[in-house]
Amino acid sequence: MKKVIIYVLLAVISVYCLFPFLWTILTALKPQEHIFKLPIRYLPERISLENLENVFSKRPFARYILNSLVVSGGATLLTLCAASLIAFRLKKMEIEQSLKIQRGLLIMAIVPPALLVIPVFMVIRKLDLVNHYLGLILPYVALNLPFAVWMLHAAFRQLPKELDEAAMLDGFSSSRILFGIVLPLSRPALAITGVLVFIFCWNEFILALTLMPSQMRYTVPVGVAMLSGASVYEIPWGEINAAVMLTTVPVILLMVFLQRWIMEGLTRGAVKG
Amino acid sequence: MAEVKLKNIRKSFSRGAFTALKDVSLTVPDGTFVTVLGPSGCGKTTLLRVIAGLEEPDGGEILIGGRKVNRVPPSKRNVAMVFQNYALYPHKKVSDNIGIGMRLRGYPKDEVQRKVGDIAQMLKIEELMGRYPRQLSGGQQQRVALARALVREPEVFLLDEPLSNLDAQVRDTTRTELKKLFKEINATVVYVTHDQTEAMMMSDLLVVMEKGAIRQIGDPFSIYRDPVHLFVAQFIGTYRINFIAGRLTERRFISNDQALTFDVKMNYQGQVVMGIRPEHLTVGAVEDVRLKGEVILVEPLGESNLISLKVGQNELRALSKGTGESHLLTAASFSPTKAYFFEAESGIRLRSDS
Repeated sequence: MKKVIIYVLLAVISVYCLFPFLWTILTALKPQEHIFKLPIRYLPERISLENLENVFSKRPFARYILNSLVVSGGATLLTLCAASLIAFRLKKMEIEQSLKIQRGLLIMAIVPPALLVIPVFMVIRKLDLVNHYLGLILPYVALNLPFAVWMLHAAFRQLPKELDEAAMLDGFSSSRILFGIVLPLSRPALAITGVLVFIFCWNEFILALTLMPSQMRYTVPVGVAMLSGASVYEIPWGEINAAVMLTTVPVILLMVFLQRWIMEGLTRGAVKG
Repeated sequence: MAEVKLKNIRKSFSRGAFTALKDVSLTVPDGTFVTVLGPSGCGKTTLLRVIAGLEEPDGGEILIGGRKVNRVPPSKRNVAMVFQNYALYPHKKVSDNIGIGMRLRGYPKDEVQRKVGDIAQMLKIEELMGRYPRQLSGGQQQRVALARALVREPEVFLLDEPLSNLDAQVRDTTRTELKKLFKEINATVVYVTHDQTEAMMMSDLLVVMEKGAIRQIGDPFSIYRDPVHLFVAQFIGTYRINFIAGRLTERRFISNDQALTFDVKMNYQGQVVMGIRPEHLTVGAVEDVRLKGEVILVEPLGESNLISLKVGQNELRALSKGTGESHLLTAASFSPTKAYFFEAESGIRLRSDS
């Protein structure tokens, strides 16, 4: 009986979470004229790829995806590199000092990104990086760094400090300890942090809109927002939904690819190592 | 192999809030097995870490083989350490765990392989070489950790309670093997433990520490027989020593509860603590100093019994072949030469004038 209740609850939650996404997919696959047809038909009468084709043919949507991949991927890698260096140093510091720095990081993470748009834009313009990938990557790294340092520091701290010390006695240099021991053993944390940072960058809108105003530099969220029909009064619902569907694909792929590591993280500590 | 010399080492943590080592001086002669023994928090592990270079002392000198190493990083001190939790690299195979130190020091691959093979054979862990540490039992992990230390042929071995995570049986055999092994290669070993049996059995030289200071250095037997400090007398000995607080006046000891009094050959006047080991307290009125007490507990130990007696305000334990029955009044006795006297305030041993 208890099991039944749990499954019913799980089913309700799944529908609640997944239905909007399902609706997106269904709409994307309907031909233009069937979308607003009454009475509502949930399943498309015939599957049409017309919307998907339109997304790619009318605008450089492939380019948007490429832009997003470069920016999000670059920002994620750079964030992980910088954060692991900082977290590694924090681990070696005296505890009071390290706590002070962590508190500072937490305060930085509280600032809402929207507040930063104008100052960041001015800085990036001064650096002559507007419409440049790096111009978006750098702010993304800065925004995600506090969070990433927190996550990685928590993971590094769980490794026994004797491991570092044994390595020091064995003749490892500091960077070898980080790259040869600490990072391989923190793979789950790296994967989770990486995925979360990537998703943040992938979905980020305001900075992307401000810092990359040229159409060839649009990232996917900006591109989706800029989709419009032939006239101002026409909203191309089918195409928007098709674009949104495409947007989620890389994120899902990423999750599938890293799932093994993430699961390893979730189950770690369940059994005695 | 080399001698290790510590001169006036001081170390405190949290900006001086906690002092781990107060002015510790110690010489570990070349080729000796020295055990540092003390309760947890006495600074013994800090001492080891200072020698290894994992902690920088606030003051004092560290010399290994006559070379001052205060500023030398751990990897260049030519010491090897075995950690309490072994600290094997979980993502490396056993053979890499053992060999990596040599590889990083630039030895050619085939030489490392040969060396690792030799050590594995010596410790009988050849069949484990392809496994990961998590696939090993505690005893096997311990051997791998030991192999990692041995393979580099360091000048000094530092061992931090390496047996404390093993179960009793494995610990017993490993203890004997360790002692044999280190004797064979005539190694300089600093071994840290809180287990006095281990310390007594293994070491050439025993260092007893308390509260960041060395209380006594000596061979195990002399430390047992001739403790210089109340703490040492209390800490060393399988069965906890009996203490009776009292005073010395006019060459006579009178316990505070007046239940025990006997003549001593000592001119000291004042508050003292008298100590008598359970193995020196005999049931039956056979020795010179006699006392009477009610039996409150009999703990059989096989060959003999540990009998607790209530004597005046004190509870004394006697290790004796005789038996006793609870609630009976029994006589016990000891020889005054076996009693130790310590100054009540400082805990320093008082000697009889001969």
